[in-house]
Amino acid sequence: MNPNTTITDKDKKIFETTLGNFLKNSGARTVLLVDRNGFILHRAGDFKSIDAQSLAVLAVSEYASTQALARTIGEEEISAVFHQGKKNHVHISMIAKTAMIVTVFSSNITVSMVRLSAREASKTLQKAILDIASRK
Amino acid sequence: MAQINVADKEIAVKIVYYGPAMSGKTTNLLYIHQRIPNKGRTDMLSIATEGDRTLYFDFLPLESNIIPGFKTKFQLYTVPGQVLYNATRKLVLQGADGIVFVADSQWSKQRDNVDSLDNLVENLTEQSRELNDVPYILEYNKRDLKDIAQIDHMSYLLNRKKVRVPEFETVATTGKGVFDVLNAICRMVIAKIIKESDINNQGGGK
Repeated sequence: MNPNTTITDKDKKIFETTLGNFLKNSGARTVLLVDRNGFILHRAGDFKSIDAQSLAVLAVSEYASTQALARTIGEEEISAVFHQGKKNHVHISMIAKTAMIVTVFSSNITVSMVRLSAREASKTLQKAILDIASRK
Repeated sequence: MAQINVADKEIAVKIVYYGPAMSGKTTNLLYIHQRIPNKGRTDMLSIATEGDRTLYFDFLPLESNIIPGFKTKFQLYTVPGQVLYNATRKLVLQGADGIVFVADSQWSKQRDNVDSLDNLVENLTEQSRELNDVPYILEYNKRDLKDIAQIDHMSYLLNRKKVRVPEFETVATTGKGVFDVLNAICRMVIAKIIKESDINNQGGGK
């Protein structure tokens, strides 16, 4: 058995198309698809001024803390997290409990637009993520 | 566990520096960060308290071409050593492809070393993993101090797996042995991934 995660050309195409559409629909600046270990599965958008790897690792840690917080208040899971800045915001949402979409977007875009687009993208991505997990 | 991106010819692996509080885990990463060439170097991420004790983790990404045809990304993490922060240690340990156990050589710290190693085994067990199955090495740090335990003694206390693992003497503050440790763990991790993933047939010699 191979315990490692393998990303194929087919997976990459699905990520590219889905996250490309996500950026177009939401108007967000950048998006990362990250696994629970902080490894980047795919990235799309403008990363000139953002360290993608640091963003991925911090988002994963943040999300893990949030799940501990969820249990503390009697929730099984908190499925999305929103961080509000002055000019830029961050939205994190979970897919199939094994990956997450990390979005950076400017303050002229509403969080509900990002959330809605992330929910749409998740439907396609979930299938691909579960397919990758089943190949292990 | 490692991520093998066949489409982009990239491999990402996670190496965790584990060990008791103040044994020198962060100092290892700081030394590596200072010495690596600018190419492939990005900022080290530290989440520490005001007293510079690791609160959450330190994170240092490195890149190499150790496998022909693939860019290999090593992600180095430390855990917080303080007993209180076990939940964080479990989180950082999740999915680790290799572990460096940084032990403090001082006589007075031998109990802490053993407790931390026991804690590592417990945390792996909770994740349905065994130390025997993870590439793992022992680093005996602070060898420049006066009141330190002999290597044989530390080996007796800590190197108790069925198959003995590599041991290294280091002085992380001056960098002595730090890269020997890094090279050794990287080689062990890559050897395991190649064995498990048949990666030599996927690189395409690119």
